[in-house]
Amino acid sequence: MQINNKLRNILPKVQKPARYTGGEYGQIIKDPAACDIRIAFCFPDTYEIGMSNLGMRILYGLWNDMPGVWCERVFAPWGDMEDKMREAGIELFALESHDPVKDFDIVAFSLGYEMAFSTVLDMLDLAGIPIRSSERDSLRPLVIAGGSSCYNPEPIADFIDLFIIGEGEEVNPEITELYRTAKKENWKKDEFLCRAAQIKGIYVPSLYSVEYNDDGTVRAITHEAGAPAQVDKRIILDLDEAYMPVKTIVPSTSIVHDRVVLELFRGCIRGCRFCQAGFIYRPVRARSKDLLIEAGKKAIADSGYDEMTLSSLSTSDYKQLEGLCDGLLEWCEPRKVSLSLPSLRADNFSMSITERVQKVRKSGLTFAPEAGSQRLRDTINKNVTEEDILNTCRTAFESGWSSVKLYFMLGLPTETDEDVLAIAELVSKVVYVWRAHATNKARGFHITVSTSCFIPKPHTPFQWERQISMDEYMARVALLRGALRSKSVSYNWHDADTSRIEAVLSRGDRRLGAVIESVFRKGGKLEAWGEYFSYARWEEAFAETGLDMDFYASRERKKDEILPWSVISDGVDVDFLWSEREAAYRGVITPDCRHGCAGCGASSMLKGGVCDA
Amino acid sequence: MLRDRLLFVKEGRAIFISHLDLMHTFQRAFIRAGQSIRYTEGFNPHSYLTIAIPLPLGVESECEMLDFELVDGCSLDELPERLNGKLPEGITVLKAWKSERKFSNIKWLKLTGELTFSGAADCASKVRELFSSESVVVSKKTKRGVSDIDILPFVKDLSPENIPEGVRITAVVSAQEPTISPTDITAACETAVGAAAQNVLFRRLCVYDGDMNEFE
Repeated sequence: MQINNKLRNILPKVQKPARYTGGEYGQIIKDPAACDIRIAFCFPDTYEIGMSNLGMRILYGLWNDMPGVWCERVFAPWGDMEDKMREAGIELFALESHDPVKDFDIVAFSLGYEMAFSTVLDMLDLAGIPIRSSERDSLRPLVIAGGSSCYNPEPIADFIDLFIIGEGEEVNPEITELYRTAKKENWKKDEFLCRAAQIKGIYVPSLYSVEYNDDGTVRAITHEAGAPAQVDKRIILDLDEAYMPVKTIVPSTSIVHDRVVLELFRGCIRGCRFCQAGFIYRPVRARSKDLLIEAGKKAIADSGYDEMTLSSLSTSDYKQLEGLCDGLLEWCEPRKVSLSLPSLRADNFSMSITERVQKVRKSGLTFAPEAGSQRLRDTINKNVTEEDILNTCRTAFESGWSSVKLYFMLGLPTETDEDVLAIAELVSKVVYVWRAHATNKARGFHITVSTSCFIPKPHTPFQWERQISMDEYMARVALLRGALRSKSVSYNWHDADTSRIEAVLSRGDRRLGAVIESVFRKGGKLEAWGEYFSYARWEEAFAETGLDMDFYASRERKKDEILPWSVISDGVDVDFLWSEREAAYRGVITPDCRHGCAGCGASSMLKGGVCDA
Repeated sequence: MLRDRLLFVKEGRAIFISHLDLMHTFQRAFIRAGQSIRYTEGFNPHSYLTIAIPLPLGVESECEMLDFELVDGCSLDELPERLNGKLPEGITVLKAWKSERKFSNIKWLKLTGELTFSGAADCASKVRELFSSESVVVSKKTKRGVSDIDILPFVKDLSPENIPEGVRITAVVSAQEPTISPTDITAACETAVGAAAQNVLFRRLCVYDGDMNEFE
């Protein structure tokens, strides 16, 4: 394809023009005349971020496997490109065909991060599509969304026609086939949405209305007849049988993760009380190692990549990890393909695995103790002891590693100054371990400590907690900074203001739609990026709508409060979450699922009801 | 010394792939095609790949050359077919052979370009007039900053032709020391016509040695 003149004229004037052209090896090109459904898969961030996303790789392949369906990619343009596009009258287009997004049947957004909400509106607007569902009368384009942020879809309920809750391998084709019928038989949009709501895992916000108490909390959520009282997420029961992408698009430019990604399992056995992913992806379901080894080999041969990463929430918990690494390394080493294992725990860290894996290329080690004191680690159920952390560091340093990254959070429930200072004490013990045990001292030594601000997330035991204020956070940052003295230690901390907005959006209700729209109209977009985020814009938007950020971020929720996301279920009982919260406050840990089922409720989603922990 | 060399086309959507990214792209394409090429030794191995004359972003070419060293794989005759189909859209390998000649022998290159100037008439005559004068000075960005250079001595066989609302230029320009780029030709045409060009698309057609023999 020749790039059209208008586009070709502006591309030399923007940064990284190749991210707007398409044409990559592995892209799927279909004949539009042979397709009755065109899907625009929209990732509300830049090309480099979106192309690294595993969900995108899976769903792109899955949708394009359907006959008559052509799924193309759309990413958010960087500011310079968006300005030039608006100036030249170029509407948002899909990469494969360069056709305008507004002409597609289904416009599907992947939502993994709440800060992307304003970018969703910006992309709809740049596409020439009315941003509110109520302003879109016809079936086409249908605007849908999926991804982890959809577990509380309320803040953007006014803009999205339907949400897909859970894993898409089965439900995405189901909703697409329903759409196909609707299109052929000329259904009205309302009719389609009512029928769609009957499909398990589909949440149609327009079929639910929310009433509020005077104090701003939710009084009631009522659903129209025919819509389910509760929307249960969809999961794939057998990952070995499910669609797994082997061929992927290989960007012609460099992106964040230029490598093959192998998804080992979904869910997590650990039950850390702050972690949303650990709960929403339950129950644990794993892929067999032989399947993964074959898929890994095919994916490398097909892509030409020289790096492969094993992906899961807690890779060291994959039961067949040693066998998998053996099988992969045997093939990777002679081909100079490196294997990386992020998401390792500091307690069952096996040096033998890491040594073999790092033989080809060595990278830094990262662990997330999350809290500095054992007391607080027990409270959040991150069952890693100081001994584990120090032993792991010792083995690493003895093997020649000279840098370690340690992640912590500040603002966890029940946290005190002592807990904050315990981070510094732990770090100094790590330094001591290096001095005592490092084999290669000449290389020097570096610890990077990173803290983020705790954000209470829906569907976790801490969903009722308050987030500490920005001032409180910065005070704890200062306290920690003062205590981290060593020259070998550097300390980074996440921005307080972005964390606050994320906290607001994570547990927001429908009224935030007006705020998000206001932020977008003031120029808000790409807010995950420091270059674009503006806290002042959010403050103005809140002032205009008369809503209060503290209500959403800093307020502790009551046990019997109706939470805005209560229509959505991830299979875990709310009572279980509450009892976990109580255990947290008593400082009692809940052992991991492999030590004994704690009865979270997710196993009922499995046939026969037993989870692969 | 004999080098493995291939000739490829870069056009269509591939014109915005940068020089460095093009190297990575070819590196992966060789792997995808099951061909082993030589890599450097050491901690962070990368492939030995050299491109003749870097192609500016946004310019097409049907005469790009890449040197590599095939360690294990098919014959050079079969290589184009193996690589095509493993490359991004817009990159096509035409042939592969062993060459003795160094890239530093490339002195001239032939290019063609179309520029539109809306509302301007008979651009071809204006361009011809400018290139018949004593000098053609353009501002050129070099590593040292911006400077004015006279490109006339480095442009030959320039034939402009009128096209609807613009001009088609075909010319032979100096390929190295100095490199006359499509930007330079565009700047000259803009001076001649007295207006900024709208749509511009250039394509390299062929490379030559100092004696104007086609380079291989």
